[in-house]
Amino acid sequence: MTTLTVNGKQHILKLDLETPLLWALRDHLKLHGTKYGCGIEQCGACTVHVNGRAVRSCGITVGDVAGKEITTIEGLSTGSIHPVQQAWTEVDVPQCGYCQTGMIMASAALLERNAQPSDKDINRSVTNICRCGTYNQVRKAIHRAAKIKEGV
Amino acid sequence: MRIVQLNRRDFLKSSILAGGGLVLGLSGFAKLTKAGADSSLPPYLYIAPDGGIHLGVPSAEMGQGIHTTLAMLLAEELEVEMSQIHHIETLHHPDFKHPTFREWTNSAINFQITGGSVSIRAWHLPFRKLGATARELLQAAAARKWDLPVAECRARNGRIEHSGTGRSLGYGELSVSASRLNPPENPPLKSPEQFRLLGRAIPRWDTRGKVKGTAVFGTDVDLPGMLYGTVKHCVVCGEKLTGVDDAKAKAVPGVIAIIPLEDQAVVVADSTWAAMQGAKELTLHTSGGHKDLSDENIIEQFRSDLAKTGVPVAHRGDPATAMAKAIRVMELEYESPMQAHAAMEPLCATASVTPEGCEVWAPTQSSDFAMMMAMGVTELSPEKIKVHTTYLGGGFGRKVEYDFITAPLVASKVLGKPVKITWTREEDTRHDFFRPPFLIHMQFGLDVHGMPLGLRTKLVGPAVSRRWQMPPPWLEENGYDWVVTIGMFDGYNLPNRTPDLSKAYAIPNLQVDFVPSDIQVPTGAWRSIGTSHNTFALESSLDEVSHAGGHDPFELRKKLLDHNPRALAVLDRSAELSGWGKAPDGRFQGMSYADYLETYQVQVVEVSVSKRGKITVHKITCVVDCGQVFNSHIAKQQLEGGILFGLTAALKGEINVQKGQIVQSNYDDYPMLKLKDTPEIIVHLIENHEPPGGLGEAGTPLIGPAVANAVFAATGKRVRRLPIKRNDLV
Repeated sequence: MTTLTVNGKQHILKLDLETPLLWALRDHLKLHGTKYGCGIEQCGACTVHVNGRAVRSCGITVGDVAGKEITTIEGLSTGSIHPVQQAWTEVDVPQCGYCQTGMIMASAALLERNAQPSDKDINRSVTNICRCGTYNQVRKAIHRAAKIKEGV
Repeated sequence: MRIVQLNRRDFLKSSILAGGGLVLGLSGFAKLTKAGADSSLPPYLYIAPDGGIHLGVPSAEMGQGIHTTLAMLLAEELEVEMSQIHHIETLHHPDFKHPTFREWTNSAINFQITGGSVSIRAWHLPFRKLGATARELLQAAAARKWDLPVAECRARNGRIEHSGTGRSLGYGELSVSASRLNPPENPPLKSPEQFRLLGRAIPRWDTRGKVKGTAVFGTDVDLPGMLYGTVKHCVVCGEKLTGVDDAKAKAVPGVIAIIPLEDQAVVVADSTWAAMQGAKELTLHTSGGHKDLSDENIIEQFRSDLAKTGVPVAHRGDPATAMAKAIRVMELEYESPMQAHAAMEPLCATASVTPEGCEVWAPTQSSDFAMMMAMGVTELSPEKIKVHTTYLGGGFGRKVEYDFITAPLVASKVLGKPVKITWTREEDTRHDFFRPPFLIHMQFGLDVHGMPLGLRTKLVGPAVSRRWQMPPPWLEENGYDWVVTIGMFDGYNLPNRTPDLSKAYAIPNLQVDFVPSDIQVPTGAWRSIGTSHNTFALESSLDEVSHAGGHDPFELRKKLLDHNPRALAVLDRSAELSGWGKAPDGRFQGMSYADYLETYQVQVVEVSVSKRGKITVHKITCVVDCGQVFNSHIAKQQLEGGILFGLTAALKGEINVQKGQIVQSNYDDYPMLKLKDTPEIIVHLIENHEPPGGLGEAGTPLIGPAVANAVFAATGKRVRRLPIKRNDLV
């Protein structure tokens, strides 16, 4: 038995504490926006925020995150659309889209701690894999999101 | 092609249609089957009384933007904005057999399928005609209602307007009366000058769901009472399962059942994680398998097969005499390794089987193959089976296969509940149908001016089509397989099998042969099929010929393509845009050209290579004439994506086999290009109204040779095997 706080809501789950957060979100809470890509923290498709930091949810257990604030793509925008999602829409980034929620979560966390990331900052922080090759549009959208957040 | 008014009564069962409205189907470019004629089938265009448009399309959306583009084609003629399209889905429908594959194979391949970069080629006119038919019906319905001449009633922005009286009615208000009229045989289509939407960078229809996380991929299917599962395959190529030791697996909390199949076991549990843990604890007992198989003996086999007489692919002039007359003969050899598809979404599918019926949800490039698997496993008749195509988290040719449909069908049939199966990344990587490895020998005879007088080339590698359970008609008894020979003077010449050399390099004496050399590793269709290995060999070797003959690589190609004005335009524009010959200090350029699926293209890259052999690709310029472009944003996405797919294969991993097992398993040992590795990419589309060429695969094959040629310019070291390895450059 464990309590998970996801997108501001508490959930009591009967789960082995060693279960990766990813699978608790997907199979138990039905939050399918967080994707399984590799299971070894290589691809980032499962990126969520834990206490505001970008974390690959396949590599962290339910036991690790008890009592922490978890945000998934479904909870990213609290009111109207989140600036990163808005920028993504303006640039029209996605192709197949499978990696995009993880990319957006990684980028949103980056912009929280670095409001004006340089290209190098983006290279260092956003290490998610996209097989469709949206990378240049991702970069463009992150810069655009920084502008939106700034109010430009 | 004929547009038919479908019998509305049959659709009233479906709640979305309960209010009535205009329902259209297409007929004539796909022969209606018996199941189609009884019209228990869904419509593919439905205009609801609220004016919302619901669209069913033949093609799977796997990132290539086909949902958006097909909706645009319809919306253009129907005179609606994209915001009026309320729903788009890939619909499994007997009318949606692929017309291009049918045409190429004299109807032998008559399936609903998405692949080969031919969705737009096949469907652009039918979807425009569908939109135009609906427009004409709505105009006629308004004219009747107003008792005015139809010629005075114009469709504009989702309404029919009468300018003289200022009256107007929305499509929703007219949809019921329009549905009672007979569709016109040949509704007029707009001319390109009249296009409002087509050609522009219209935002993708699927972006919203993909940004919000609500888009449903194969992995996201969720049914009441559903069980979860995964698969564990025998590890050695060709091995069969003889039994399992499942005591430990069954002891994993949540594991419900272990079901052995021919070459794999299915583990079913109450969650995906429990199933994956169970699979780890499962021991497979096997027999057979090719335990001695390795990269080394595959290449040895290819080298020995190089001596064999090949199957003729293309022939022109008198190559033997040309070689005898040549003042210089160059013998060159190129190797391409196996590559995995590695789509971000691992293979997955969901099935619900009961004695009365079956439903399948799958990220499939061929809903008909999923249907056939379901018929085989359930022994139900097709009208009792429903196939739903979800979004695909990448396909790249892997999801045209149907191996991943079996496990959920069997598990659901056995357990009596819906089952969703998700492969682990490791299973997905190891049990792929890989890009086939190839060895290609090129013999050029040069004349006194350094121009190629003759070319003899031999392609050695597996005839991948031989593996398919339904051998396609292009596979000949002697092993000729268009899937692997395309790109080496062998274009889309199906079904006549006479290579069309009219647009190819004007090398007067030519002989291309293919030596089928089958291997025991499963191989299949990988984004751009044969063009992938063939363009590497052809464009690298022409670079070598340019240097040997003292020609600039652009000038050599322009001379060889003097008869092909579209190619010349692309060459000129790319030389100009890339600043050919004017690379900044420390950077070096390389280029390649290809025409693939009636898309003419040049890529120019700028690289630098460090003393320790580290390659940095700085800039890629891609100039394309693919005929009429319908959505310039999506076209550029496809080219950019295709380029990065090919760049990953040129610079990053490869798939190896040792002791009969695939060595790589996940993104740590089969690495992908990332954001930090991505160069600036400039894609320039040459505008014209030629018939649309292919784009989904077009970007992939050119980038490998362009980079290899730039690396030669930088280091003087010629790359004859991909991927390019650091150690080869120091």
